[in-house]
Amino acid sequence: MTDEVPHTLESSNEATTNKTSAESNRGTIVFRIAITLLVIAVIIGVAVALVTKNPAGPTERGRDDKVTSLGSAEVTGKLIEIRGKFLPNDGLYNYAFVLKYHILEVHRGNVEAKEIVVAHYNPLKPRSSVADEFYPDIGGTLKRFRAQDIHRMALDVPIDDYYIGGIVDRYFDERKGEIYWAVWTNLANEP
Amino acid sequence: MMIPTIKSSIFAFVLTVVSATSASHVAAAEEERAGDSANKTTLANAAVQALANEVRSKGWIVYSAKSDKGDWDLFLMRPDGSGPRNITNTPTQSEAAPRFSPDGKRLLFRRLKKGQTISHDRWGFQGQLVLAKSDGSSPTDFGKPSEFTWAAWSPDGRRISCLSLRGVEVVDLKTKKVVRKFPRRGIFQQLFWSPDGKWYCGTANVGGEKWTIVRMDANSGKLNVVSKFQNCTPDWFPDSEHVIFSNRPAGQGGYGWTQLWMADAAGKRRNLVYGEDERHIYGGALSPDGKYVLFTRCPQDGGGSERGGAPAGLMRLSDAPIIAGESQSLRKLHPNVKNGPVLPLPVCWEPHWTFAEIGGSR
Repeated sequence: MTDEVPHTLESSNEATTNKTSAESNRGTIVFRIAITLLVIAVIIGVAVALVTKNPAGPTERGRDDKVTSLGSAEVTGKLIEIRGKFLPNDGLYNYAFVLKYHILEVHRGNVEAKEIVVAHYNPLKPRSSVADEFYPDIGGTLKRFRAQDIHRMALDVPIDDYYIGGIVDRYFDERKGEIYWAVWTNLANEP
Repeated sequence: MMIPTIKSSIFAFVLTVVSATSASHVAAAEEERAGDSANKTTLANAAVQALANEVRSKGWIVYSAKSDKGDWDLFLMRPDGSGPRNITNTPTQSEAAPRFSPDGKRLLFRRLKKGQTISHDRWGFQGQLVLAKSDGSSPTDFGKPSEFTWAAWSPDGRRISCLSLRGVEVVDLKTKKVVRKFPRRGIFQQLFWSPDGKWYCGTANVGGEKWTIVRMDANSGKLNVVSKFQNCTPDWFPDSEHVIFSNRPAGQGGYGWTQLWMADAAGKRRNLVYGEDERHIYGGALSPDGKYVLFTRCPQDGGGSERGGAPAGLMRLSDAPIIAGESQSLRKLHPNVKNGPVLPLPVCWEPHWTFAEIGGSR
């Protein structure tokens, strides 16, 4: 009994080791397959997200249900500059800040000028959180204003029909047309 | 050894005498200064007391203030601050921004939900317009919430002017019908009708500047600038020829402090009325005879309505300009100013004054 016992044990250990090794190999293969599938899924997901965000070139960038339905005009334009500094948006004073755009495309409405001025409400706030008690229906995806960025905007005009509050207009003595009121503003930069 | 000892003793004696004399002079000087200071305080207190006595019987002041229940209510007090009493007592709602009718018999004000923050410069768009007798009795809702915004009395008290996106509308109080409508021409808040009915004043976007005080011809709609750059809360003098307003001038280094100014309504001349570093001065309002000025002194800009109100003050217009506190930089700009007297009044927001005796009040 005593001689056989080690032999039996050795055989048993060997069998166990082989079994464990086989299981380990199977586990590794399954793991590799899972990782491969996950990577493929992520790649597909990213591709779908990118395609959804920029589905078909310039005319589709920044497009969503709001920007295509709000306001009386819809344009894609390049923000030419930010003239001077924004005033604080610390919750005390609210204002609209006038910015100048070069029009790249008119999606709807009658906007004939190549350059227009647009007033954005409380410009230091992300558009997603700019709506308040007095202007509950404004917004967009734009997080911050940067010169040379491209924005897709739903607009109304003239501003005095839609906004009653302080306006910081640093183009006052040079602008020719009306000030547009930005209802919805999405980022529409090239990818 | 004796001679030096004697010399030392004499020197010590002289030194002691000189020191004692000097100490007594210092003490006397300090006493004198303390006496001067006490005298000045006594005189200042006497001047404030004289001002209080002078205005005590001159009608009533209505104002908004937080009640002990946490809502805003309307209160009446005598112009010296005596006899304050709550005239709305509505713990579930807030009332703010009261204005006496020109004859002092009625009030208009806005009623808001309890807990709603009163915007310091957009309050005229908030809540619901309410008309009541000047003692707060018989309050009547006039329209729905967000209607009849920035309502202001006409000189005869039979109409109100309102400011909204639609422009300026004149509304007949009996019929509630718009009897006249015209463009607002950039005016966006605080529109008030002059006592002679010929003008409006308001805060406007004019000339690219922000927060400009303008006067508008009530017939032609033509505007003229009264004061440019960072102004608000204009109101008329009884003569319809001058406007009082708050202004935070540029060049103060940093945010700056808001001061109380007056100007002729044609915009040709501006004068400081009251300034105090570390306080924002708002709520400028004239007594019905134009001799006294009411205002509030708030340490935080906008805190008058958005927090809990601010201590009010009353001064004679003939004592203007007054600069209070150290206000070193302000005093450099305005060297020939007075220090007072200023009669301190309770913490409040947007006080308004009538000389009428109010029914139901003692």
